Amino acid sequence: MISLDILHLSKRYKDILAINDISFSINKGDFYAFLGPNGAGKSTTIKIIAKLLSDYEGSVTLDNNSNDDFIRSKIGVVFQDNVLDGLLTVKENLLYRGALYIKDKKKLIERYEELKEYLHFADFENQKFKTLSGGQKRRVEIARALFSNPELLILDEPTTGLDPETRRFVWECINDLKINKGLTILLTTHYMEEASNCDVVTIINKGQIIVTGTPSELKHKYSFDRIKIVPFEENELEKALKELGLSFKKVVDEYIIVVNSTQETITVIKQLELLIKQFEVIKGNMDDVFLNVIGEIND
Amino acid sequence: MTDLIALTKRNIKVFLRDKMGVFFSFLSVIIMLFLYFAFLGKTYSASFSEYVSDKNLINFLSLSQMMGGVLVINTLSLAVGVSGTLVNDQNNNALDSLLVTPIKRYKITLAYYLSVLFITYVLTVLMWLITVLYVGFTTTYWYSFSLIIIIVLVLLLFTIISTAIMVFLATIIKSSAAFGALASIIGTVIGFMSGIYMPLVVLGQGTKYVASCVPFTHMTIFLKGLMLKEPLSYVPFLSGEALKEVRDYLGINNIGFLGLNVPLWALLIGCCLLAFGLGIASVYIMKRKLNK
Ligand SMILES: Nc1ncnc2c1ncn2[C@@H]1O[C@H](COP(=O)(O)OP(=O)(O)O)[C@@H](O)[C@H]1O
Ligand SMILES: [Mg+2]
Repeated sequence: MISLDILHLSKRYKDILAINDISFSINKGDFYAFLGPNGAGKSTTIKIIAKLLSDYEGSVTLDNNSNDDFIRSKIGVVFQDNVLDGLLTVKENLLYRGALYIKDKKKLIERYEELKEYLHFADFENQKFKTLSGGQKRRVEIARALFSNPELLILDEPTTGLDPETRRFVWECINDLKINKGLTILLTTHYMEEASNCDVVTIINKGQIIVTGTPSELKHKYSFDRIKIVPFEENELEKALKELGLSFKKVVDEYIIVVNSTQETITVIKQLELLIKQFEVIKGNMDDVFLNVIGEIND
Repeated sequence: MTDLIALTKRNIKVFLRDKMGVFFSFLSVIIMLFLYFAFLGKTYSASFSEYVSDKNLINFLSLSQMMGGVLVINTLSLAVGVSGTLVNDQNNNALDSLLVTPIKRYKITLAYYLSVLFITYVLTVLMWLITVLYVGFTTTYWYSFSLIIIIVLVLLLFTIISTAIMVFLATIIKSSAAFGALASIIGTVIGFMSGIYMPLVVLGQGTKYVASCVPFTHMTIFLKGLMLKEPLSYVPFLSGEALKEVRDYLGINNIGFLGLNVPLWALLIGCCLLAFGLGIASVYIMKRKLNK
C-alpha cells in the first residue's frame, strides 16, 4: 500500500512564490492529474516530490516515510524534455541509467529485456537516441523511468508538443501501467481533455490548488450541457425562446442554449418539439471546468 | 561501485562519441604540430646548427622541446573538453535525471572527475608513447627507459592538476555555448601565454610576468627540462654561459613568480596546492548544486 501525502507545501524562487501552501494526497492505484496553465507551479511541485529541490516548506511523505533514498527508490520520473544522451544507443542509455538502480549485472540485463518487450523497442535498441522519432524517444524515456520498477510514476507534461499519434501511444502506455501493473500515477498536463481520463483531477493556478475532484464531479459542478438547434423558422424559434425565458446565442444558423441538467434538456426539447429541424446535445467538458474555475479566480 | 563505474563510462562515451568535440579538444595540439612542421621546426633546427652538426641530434632536440609543450597543452585541452559534459548535463536537465535515482550525490561528482582524468591521462600517455617511437625511429635517438617511466608519472600529476582546474571552470560557467568557446580556444591561449608556441624570451618581460601566474608555464618548463636533459647531454662543449643561453632559448630555465626568484620545485608544489584548492572548491560548489 503506497500513498503520497503532501502537506502545506510552499516554494519560493527569490521573489516568485511558485507554490503557495498546497496539500493533497494520492492513494495507491490512483491516476492523478495536475492540471494548470503554464507557470502554475506544476513542475516545481513535481521537482519537490522527486527530491530535486530541498529548499522548501512543508512535507512530502510516501507511505509515511520522508527519507530521500526511500522516496527515490520508489518513484520513476518522466521529464517534460528528453534527458537521455543523443549520441548513445538506446541500450547503452538504459543500461547505464539502470545500473544506478540495479547493482547486479544479470538482473540489470533481465530488467532491460523485460522493458524492451513491454515497450517494444527491440527494433531500434542499437540506434543512437538522437536518431529516433519523437514517439520512440518518449517510449525509451518511459523505460528509463520504469527501470527501478517504481510504485509511483510521475510524468511532467508527457504529451506536450507531441503529434496526435504519439500522444495516443503515450496515453495507452500510461493506462496500461495503471491497469495491468497497478502503478500509482501522477501526471501534469495543460490539456483539458487528457485530464478527463484520470481518476482525480486537481486544478492548480498561480501556485494554489483551486479545485480537486473526479472528472465527473468537476464537470457536474463547473460545466454545462448545451443544446444546439437548427429551426425550420428562425423567427418562430426566437419568439418561443423569449416566451420561455431562455437565453441563447446564435452561431450561423444554429441556436445554442445552455441548460443545467438532463431533465431540463428534455423539457426544452419537448416544448420546442414542432419548431426543431435538427438538434444536438453537447455534454459539458473539462474545457468548461477549466475556464470556469480559472476564470472565477481571475475575476 | 557498479553505479559509479556505469556513470563514469557514460561520461566517457558521451565525450568520445561527439566527434566535433573531440576534434576541438585536439585543435590547439593540431595547430601546434602544424606550426612546428610548417616552419617553427626549421627555425629551431637552424639555431641549433650553431652548436651541433648531427642532423638527427638537431631533430631530437627540437622535437623534445616541442613535445614537452604539446603534452602539457594536451592535458589541459582534453580536460576542458571532457568537463563540457558536466556543463551540458546541467543545461539539458540530464543532471536532474541522475539526481532522481538513489545514487549517492558524491558519486555523481566523482564520476565527472574520473571520466575527465581517465580520458585525459590515457590519451596523453598514448601521445607520449607515440612521441617516443616517432623520435626514436626518425632520429635514431631513444629516450632512456627510466625517463619514459618518469614522464608517464609526471603526466599523471599534470593530468590531475589540469582536471582540477578545468572541472572547477565547468562548475562555475553556466552556459554550454560559453564553455564550448572556452574549450576550443583555451589550449591556444595558454599555448601563447605559457611560452609553448614560442619561447618566452622572444616575448619580453611583461609577458613573462603574466606567464609566471599560469600554472601551465611552470609545468611546461619542468617537463621540457626533463625531456631535453638527454638530448642536451649529447651536445659537445656546451656549458656555462652558452648552456644558459640555449636553455633560455629552449624555455627550460625557471622564470620564478612575478619576477621573484622562486625555485621550480616550490612553484610546482604551488601548482599542486592550487589544484587541490580548486578541487575542494568545486566539490563544495557541486554539493550545493546537487542539493539545491
Ligand atoms: N529555477 C527557477 N528560478 C526562478 N523562478 C522559477 C524557476 N523555476 C520556475 N520558476 C517560476 O515558478 C513559477 C512556477 O513554475 P513551474 O513550476 O515551472 O510552472 P509549470 O510547470 O506549471 O509551468 C513560474 O512563475 C516560474 O517562472
Ligand atoms: Mg512545467
